[in-house]
Amino acid sequence: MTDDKETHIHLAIDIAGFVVSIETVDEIIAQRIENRYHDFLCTEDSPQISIKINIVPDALYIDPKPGQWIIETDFKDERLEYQSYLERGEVDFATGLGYLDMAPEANIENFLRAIIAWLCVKHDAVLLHAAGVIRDGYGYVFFGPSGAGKTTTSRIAAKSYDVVSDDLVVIRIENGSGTLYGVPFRGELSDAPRANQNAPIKAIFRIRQDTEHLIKPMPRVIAVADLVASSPFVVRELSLSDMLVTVCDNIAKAVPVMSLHFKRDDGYWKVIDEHFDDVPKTASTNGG
Amino acid sequence: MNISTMYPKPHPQTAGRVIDGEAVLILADSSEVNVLNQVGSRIFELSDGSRTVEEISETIAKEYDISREQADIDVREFLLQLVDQSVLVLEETREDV
Repeated sequence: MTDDKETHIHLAIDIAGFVVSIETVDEIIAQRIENRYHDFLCTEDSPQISIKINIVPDALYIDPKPGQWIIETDFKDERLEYQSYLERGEVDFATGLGYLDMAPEANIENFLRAIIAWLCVKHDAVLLHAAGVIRDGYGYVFFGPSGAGKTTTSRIAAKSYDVVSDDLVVIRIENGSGTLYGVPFRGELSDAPRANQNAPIKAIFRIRQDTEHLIKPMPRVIAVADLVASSPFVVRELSLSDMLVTVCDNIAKAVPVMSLHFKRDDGYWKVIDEHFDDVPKTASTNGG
Repeated sequence: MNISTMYPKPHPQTAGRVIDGEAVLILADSSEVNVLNQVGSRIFELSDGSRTVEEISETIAKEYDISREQADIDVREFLLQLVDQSVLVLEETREDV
């Protein structure tokens, strides 16, 4: 029987300007969301997406097996279907409404990531597997597959600068310029702040661990391909692939995308600074 | 199988875009992203379901100033490689583009 006196708690989370509203009657879940996303909470009353959380005791949607963590997503006709072990949800992007059925011990994080990834690609932005650093008012993005060195560059940068994330960032193209946005999603660097900060992007680096610090140019097509490959969720959705390539191409036109070989010390900043000291102010980026 | 008369076209799970003359291919099934060189990109671009393998070879021979025989060998080999990687499929009938 429905308890008419249940209090519906509404929380709005703003990630890179995309607002997702969460509704729940469960005070514990609401408190967990508040704690986890407190720097990203906002009072926006017209969110792009509104999600209703339904708590399902003993929910288990995928049988756990050893190996990679399973998240299944399907984007079709403006609709996202999402499923993982303890939670399952849908979003209708045409109406902006969705739900998440979840076990009491589950959390909304991966569902939120999939929603943000979709919103990004539809709005000239991308959720990218990358570390983001704000240094002297400018954003620096270090991206690459697992093992490329995102956590390492973040750990080194965190000693002197603001690390907005060691795992995922949002890059938005606004008026032909790239902006780096921090996101609340966590990587391996548990003590790094998930700062709700943004900054105009100075450069994006495809990182590779090496025995020396070195910057190499990247042809635009390679920059686009590498950016596309580092975009979670969306890269495996054919209906969004074309849009994703367009967004990544826009990024490569607007912002320098280069290859950075680095070793495990902060000497990479010197190489970056030297590169920009040498580049004429009018130099183009990746041939755009 | 005589592939000369078949019509190559993108695999339904592949998206591609040519940037600066080179194709970025996204293979949605495997989440792989590949880049083709200029000649490969041109062959991919021509493989839209409206041309036979033979017609594509003819175009490549003309555009890159190579013998027709050499173009036949190279184009076939490359197309079969792309079919093997699920980038393209070969159809028996022409598709209107």
